[in-house]
Amino acid sequence: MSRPPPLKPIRSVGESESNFSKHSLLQPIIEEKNSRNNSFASGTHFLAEDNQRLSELSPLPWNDYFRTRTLVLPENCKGIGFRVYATGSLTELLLAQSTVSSQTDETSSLYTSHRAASSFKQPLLMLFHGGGYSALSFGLLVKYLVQKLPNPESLSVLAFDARGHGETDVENEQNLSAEQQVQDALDLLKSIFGKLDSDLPPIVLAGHSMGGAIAVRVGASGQIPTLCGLIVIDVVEGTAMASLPHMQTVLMKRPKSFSSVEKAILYSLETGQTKSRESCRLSLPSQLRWNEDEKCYSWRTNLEESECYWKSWFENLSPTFLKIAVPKLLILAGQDRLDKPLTIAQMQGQFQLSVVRDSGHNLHEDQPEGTAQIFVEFLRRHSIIN
Amino acid sequence: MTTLDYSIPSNTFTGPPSTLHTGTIKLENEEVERYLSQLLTESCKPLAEEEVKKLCDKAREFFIEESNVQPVSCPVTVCGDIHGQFHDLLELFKIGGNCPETNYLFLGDYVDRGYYSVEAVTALVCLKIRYPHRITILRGNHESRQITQVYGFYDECLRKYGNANVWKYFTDLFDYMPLTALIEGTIFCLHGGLSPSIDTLDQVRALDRVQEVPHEGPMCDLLWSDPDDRCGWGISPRGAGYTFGQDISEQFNRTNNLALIARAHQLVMEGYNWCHSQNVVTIFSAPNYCYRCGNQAGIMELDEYQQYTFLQFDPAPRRGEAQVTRRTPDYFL
Repeated sequence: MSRPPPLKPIRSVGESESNFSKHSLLQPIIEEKNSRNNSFASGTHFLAEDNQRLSELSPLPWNDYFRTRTLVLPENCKGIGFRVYATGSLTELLLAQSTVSSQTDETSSLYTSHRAASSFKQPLLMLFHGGGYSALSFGLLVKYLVQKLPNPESLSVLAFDARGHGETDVENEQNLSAEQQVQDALDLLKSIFGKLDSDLPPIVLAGHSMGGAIAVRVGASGQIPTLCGLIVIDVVEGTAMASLPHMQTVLMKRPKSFSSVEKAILYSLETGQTKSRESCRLSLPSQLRWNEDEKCYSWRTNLEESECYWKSWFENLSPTFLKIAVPKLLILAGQDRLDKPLTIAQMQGQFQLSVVRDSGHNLHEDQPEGTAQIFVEFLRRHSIIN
Repeated sequence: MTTLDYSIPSNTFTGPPSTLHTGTIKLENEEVERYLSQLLTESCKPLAEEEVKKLCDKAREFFIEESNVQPVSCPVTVCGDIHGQFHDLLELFKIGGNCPETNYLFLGDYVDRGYYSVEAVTALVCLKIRYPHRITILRGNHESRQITQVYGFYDECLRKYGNANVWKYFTDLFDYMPLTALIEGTIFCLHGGLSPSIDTLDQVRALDRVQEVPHEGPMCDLLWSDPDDRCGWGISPRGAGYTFGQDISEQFNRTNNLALIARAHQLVMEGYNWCHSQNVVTIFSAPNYCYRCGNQAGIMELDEYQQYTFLQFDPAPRRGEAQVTRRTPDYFL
C-alpha cells in the first residue's frame, strides 16, 4: 500500500467506507476563525514562519508503524467496533478474519478462522493506552520493538483504541469503568482467538497509565491461561491516587479546541506533554475529533466526565500487580514514584523496575527506542521471545 | 596524636601503621581524623571536592590490595544496605559501637535512594583509610556508574558539588572494592548471592573484579542474586542475577566448608532474616527504607567465638535533616 497523504482518509483492509464518516478527524484544515475562549492560539495572527512551522507538524500515517488495522466488534457489543492495529503474524490472522466475515456463510467461515486462530502460537504483546490517548501512542515503540526483535517473526503486537477513545465506536462509550474495560479486552481476545483457553498464544499485557491499570486487572482476572508477562508504564497506585485531586485542574488548563490538527500538535510539543515530534504527529491527531457545529477540533475523549471511574482504575492496584504470578516489569519516568508496597516488593526483588530518564509521564512516546530496548530485554530474559 | 584504642581483640592481626605512607598518596592520619570529625556528626558537612579526590585515591591503594574473597577475623559486626540514610548510619554506630572499638564488615549499597549518599559513603571510605584493618567495605549492586545515575547518587553529587567530579571519583573507586569476604574461613559474606557459574571460593578469587558491574556473568550474580523458596536456579524477577534454592546453598556451603552465607540486598522487615534452614541469613541496615517502608534495621554481631547476636534498631530521630518532600508527579490519566 502506498503511503497516503496526510489529512486524507486512510483506508486499509478490513475497513469499509462507512466506518469513516462518523468521527474522522480527517477534515480539511479550516483556518483560524474560532473565537471561543480556551481555544489554542485563537485570536492570534500567524506569521509566515508560524505557518512554515505548522506545515512541519502534519499528522503521520499509521501504516509506517503497524502492518494492519481493522475494526473488531465483539459478539456482545453494539456499534461499529474497536479500532485494532497489529504487527507480526497476527496481521495475517486479522486479514483472514476480515475476509471471512464478509462471506455469506458466516458460521462456517468463523469456524475456519478460529481454527486458524487456535494454531496461532506466536507470542502476543497486547497494548493498553492511557486515558485520552489512543493505540497510536504506541506507534513509535512498536516500530523500534520490531527493529530490535531477534527475529521479526518472534512477536505479534496488538494495540487497540479503548472504549470512548480514538476511532473505537461502541455503544455506551462513556462507561470507562475498570470492569467494562477489562471485559472489552477479554471480548476482543475472544473475538480474535475464539476461546480464552490454553490454545491462546503466550500473551504479554502492557499498558500505560490508565491502560497499565487495566492491563493489571485483565491479568488478575485469571481469564488468560497463557499469560506470561506483565509490563506497566508509569503508573503506581500511591502516586496516582495522590495526583487525582489535581487532575481536573490539569484537564481544565487544556485548550478545549484547536483550529487545526497542526496547532494541537504544536500545543502538545510546546507544553511538553510529548517530547517527541514524530510521536506527537502520529499519536495526537487520534486524540482529536472534528466538531462540525463549532468547525474546530476538540478532544475525542471526555476525560472530565470520566472522573467517577478514576478511583476504580487505581485503587488496590499495587497489591493486585504484586499478586500476579508472571514476570513483571514496571517502567517509570522517575525512581521516586514508587509507593510503600511497591518499594518493599522492589527491594525484595519481586519485580523488575526500570527507570527511563529524560522523559515525562508519556515515556514510551518521549523515549520510544529506549523503552523498546527495555521491552525486548525483558521478553528475552524470560524466554518469551528468542 | 591519637588516643584511640589499638588493642587487638583477636589473635590474627598485628596493627596498622601510624601514618598512611604505605602507598604513593600522602594522607596524614591527622587529616583523616579531621575529615572524620567533620563527617561523623549529625551536622555532617560533606568534604571539599579536592579532599574527596585525595580520599578516593588513597582508598584505592587499600582496596587494590584486598582479595575478591577478603579474609576477616572475629569479632566483627556485619551490616547490610545503608542507601544514603546517613543519620541511620550514625545510629548504627551508636548501637553497634564506634569504629575502631568495633570491627565492621559492610555488605554494600551505601549510596542511592536516601538523600545523604555523599555523606554516608565518604564517612565509610574515611574509616576505611583510617582503620584499614578494622573495617571491610564490600561492593553492592548500587556501587555502579549505571545504577547511581538512575537512583539518586549522581543527582545528589551534582546538587551538592555543582558538578559530577565527586560522583566520578567515587564510582571509579567502586571498581576496586572487594566483592566478598570470608569470616574465619566459615562465614561467606557478600551483597547479593550465589552464581550458577561459581561453585568454589577459588573461582571467586579468580575473577577480574576491577570493572563496572557487568549486566550478566558471575560478578553480576554475586551482587544481584537472591535466595528463593524454590529449589535450583531461577531467572531473577529483578532483571539481573538469579534466584537460588536451598539445595544450591547447602551444596555451596558443603563444597566450601562453610557454616553460613551472610548477605544483604533484600529488604527484610525485621532487619534480618534466616532462610534455607539457616544456611543463609539476610541483613538489612536501612531502617524505614526510603523513608516509607516501616521496616526495622538489623546488624549481626559475631563475637570472638563466632557466636552471633542480632541487634535491631529503628530510624534515628530526624534532627537536622531537611524535611523530605516528594513532588506529586505530573500524572495524567
